[in-house]
Amino acid sequence: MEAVCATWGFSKARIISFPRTGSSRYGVFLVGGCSRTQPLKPTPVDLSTLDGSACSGAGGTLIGRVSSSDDKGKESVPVRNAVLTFRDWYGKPYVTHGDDDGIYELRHVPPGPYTLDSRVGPDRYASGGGEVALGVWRESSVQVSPYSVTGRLRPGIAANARVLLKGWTE
Amino acid sequence: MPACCLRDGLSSPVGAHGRFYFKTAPAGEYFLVAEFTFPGRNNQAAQVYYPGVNTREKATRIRIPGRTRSDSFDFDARAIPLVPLPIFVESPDPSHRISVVVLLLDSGGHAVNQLGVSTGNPSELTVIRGETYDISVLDSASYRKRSETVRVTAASGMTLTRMALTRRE
Repeated sequence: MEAVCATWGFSKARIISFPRTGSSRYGVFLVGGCSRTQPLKPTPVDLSTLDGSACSGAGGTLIGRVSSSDDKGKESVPVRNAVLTFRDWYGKPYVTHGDDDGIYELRHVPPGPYTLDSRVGPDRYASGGGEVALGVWRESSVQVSPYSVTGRLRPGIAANARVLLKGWTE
Repeated sequence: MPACCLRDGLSSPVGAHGRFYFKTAPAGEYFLVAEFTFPGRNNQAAQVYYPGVNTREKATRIRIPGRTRSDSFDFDARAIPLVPLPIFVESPDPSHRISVVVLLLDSGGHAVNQLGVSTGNPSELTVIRGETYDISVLDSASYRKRSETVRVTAASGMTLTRMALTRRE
């Protein structure tokens, strides 16, 4: 497995990720196969986990890239210095700031599900959030998109609900 | 507005926070329709029109000007037939969380849903408001029952139903 990851014709510097066996160490991604092996340049999420600074501390961590794309098919671009508010299951807010590369970290928070406050501007919304697991870093990207109409039903019923916007034929 | 017929609509999922977004919509007048599928009831569904009525004739039309509407079209929560059922399985040892399965049966004894959860973490199941359910906790490997059965009637604003493990696997 490790040889395959390391030898397949990489022409650019890459960060090589290996699956770990046995107990994992806080501050390191759990990876499957070579799934996170990728060019070095666009991997600020992985690089930011390598300095070891997050290997101490309680709870778990969400980390990810905040990006934005106005049009379908266009490459998304990092959103710099975004202010994100996550909430735990009880509604307690946890505010974190993205950096110049668009990377945010929600560090050392209690395990459980976290939702992201979605309205981030007068015409933008963010989708993200995820499950924090004890002693593990999890990647959870945040996508910022424009919207034209918003509204609200009720929290906690997402899997069984959708909303349609119906107009008229001429 | 031409008085003909509704065309197929744009569709938006609903986030965990309950909010929905439509990225783009041409200028015009529209109805907002929330569609709900009933857990445990094959193919049974319901529609609610904004702001919380069950017929199109009573619904409020919304005007989209071709740019972002900054206001929020919030449905009347009393008209929404589904509610979250929050569940918390107590952890016998808070430093050692274990995986269990929460099983939900309807009043007829039919399985409505089952959810793998970790002890010590709150979680939610979607249920039909006004219906009665039996909740029990099963071992995730053997599916043996590991709690007493708790009966609840689904309502808006339910507090956490706490489940205690009663036997060790």
